[in-house]
Amino acid sequence: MNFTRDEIIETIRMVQAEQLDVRTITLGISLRDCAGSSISQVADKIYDKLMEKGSELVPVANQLQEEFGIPIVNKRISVTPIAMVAESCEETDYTPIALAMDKAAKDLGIDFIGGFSALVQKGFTRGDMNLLNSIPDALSRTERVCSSVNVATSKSGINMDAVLAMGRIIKETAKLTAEQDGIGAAKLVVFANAPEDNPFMAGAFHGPGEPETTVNVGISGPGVVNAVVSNLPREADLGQLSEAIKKMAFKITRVGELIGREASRRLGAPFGIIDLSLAPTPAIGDSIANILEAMGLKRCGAHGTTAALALLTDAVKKGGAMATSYVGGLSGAFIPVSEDAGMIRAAADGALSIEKLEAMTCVCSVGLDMIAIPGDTSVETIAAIIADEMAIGVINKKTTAVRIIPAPGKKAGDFVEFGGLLGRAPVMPVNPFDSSVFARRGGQIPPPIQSLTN
Amino acid sequence: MDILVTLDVLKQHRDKKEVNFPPNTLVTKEARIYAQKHGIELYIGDKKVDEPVQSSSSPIVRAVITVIGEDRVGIIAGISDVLANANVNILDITQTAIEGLFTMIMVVDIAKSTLSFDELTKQLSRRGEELSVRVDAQREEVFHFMHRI
Repeated sequence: MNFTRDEIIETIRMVQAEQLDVRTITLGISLRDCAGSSISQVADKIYDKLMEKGSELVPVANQLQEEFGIPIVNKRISVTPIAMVAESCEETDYTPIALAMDKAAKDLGIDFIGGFSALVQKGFTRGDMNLLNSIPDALSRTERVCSSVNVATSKSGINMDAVLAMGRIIKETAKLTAEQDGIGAAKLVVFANAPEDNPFMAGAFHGPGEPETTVNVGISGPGVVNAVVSNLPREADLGQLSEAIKKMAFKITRVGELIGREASRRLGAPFGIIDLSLAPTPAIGDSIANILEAMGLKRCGAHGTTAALALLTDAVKKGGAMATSYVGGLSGAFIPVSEDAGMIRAAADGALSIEKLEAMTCVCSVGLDMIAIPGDTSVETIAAIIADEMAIGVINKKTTAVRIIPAPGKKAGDFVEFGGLLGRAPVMPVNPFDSSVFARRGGQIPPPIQSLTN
Repeated sequence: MDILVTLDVLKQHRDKKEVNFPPNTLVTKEARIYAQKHGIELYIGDKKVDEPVQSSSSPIVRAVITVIGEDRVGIIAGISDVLANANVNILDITQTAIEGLFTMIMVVDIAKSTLSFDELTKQLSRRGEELSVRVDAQREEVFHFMHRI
């Protein structure tokens, strides 16, 4: 036998007991050739192109899942930011395009389609404005469409007008989906330094520098890493801990690499990147918070959490980078509160606050993710939360994001339920002091001195 | 003149079996993958363009079958029966009891299998249900990728 019995058992255990899976195969599709002068014409072109290019995605993913015995949880599509595609239309409401994307997603059987997006880090074009204005309606009238807006980069600074606008859009989107606890806002991300090849939702879009089509893979596996950390003796030092996580990250990533290569071959689309992110699910044991707790913290959010998360993220990157030729996307560890059973518990117990989560985003892969806040939080406060997070990304030259849900009619301590991968979350209190004068100043926060790298 | 052959250029030739481009043309990887998928042969000058290298494109040859459950009479016989009927050759077999569970691992050659991998997996798990054990079949590459550099 080429492998030892223990190696085979290890793999089987990782899949069956520790929730090892490939979180997503995301097919990036360029829609740059779908422009036109009327919105209905563009929507039709987009629908037709998605149906043509995406037709094999679900069958191929199911085949791979069967043959390799590794569950592929989500099949997704990311497209060119719609603000660019629809800009040539005379109409100002882009909702018909979102409806066409949603219909294509349902007809293809894919889970999410991302790219109802705009890049406005330095200002707005007509198409950007129209797209932003269409977001609340588009997200409340569709199920599978995800939207993202990049409002800041390390090279151009932070567009504070866009930040304030996003505060309003998030609130409006939550209000329009009030009967589902504001789920619309769970499909909307505000980014700093958004990557062009991210396979994870809600922030996936097919960047303007990407090829016609590309296959990006997002790995998962917090449960597996958790088992490794839990099985180490308590006296193992942090160097040994990091070493153990690295080895496991290598193995997890290799699975993604294998699935990605095979998917690329069968779909006839070039293999883009592997996103080395540990993505949790609400399933018990599949939690990032539990890993941090297994390292020796009573609850995620206790002092020491940021250091533990930094160690984890770094070890995942080091192990994973060796396992694949092309690393991209967000790559790190996600800390979405509602999607992680351990985070939910920590937040409900009062161990985890928004402020602590903000500190953790300095060392995780993205940012304030899937956090429910009281429904009466003001637009300016939401904008200020976004601004803080964008500043962290811009100064540290990393991707940061805000996906926050002002749950209509809910107050701190209540619970919101989204279901499925989006999970449930306790509503977390926000700082009650006012920041509206700052948030309303508008304009551009200049790029930091660190951006002058040439 | 040097030109760049991309996917769109190639799509105009989608009905052809063979396409010729002038010397020094550069063909993108994307276009080569498309050509391979649609069975188009590409020539630059008189030199044939290689198909894009895929490290795992070899047809399925070997699979690992694992059986986990409570020990009882007839497990090996039952599973081997399915394999023999499908013309699948058993290359290696090992069994142990780990943590009180019966565990059998088989490495099999499925190159000459009369069933598709999908169908074989279904038949195996159906037989597993009859025997009250869990049977999984996976292509060998998973283990190779995970445990070998």
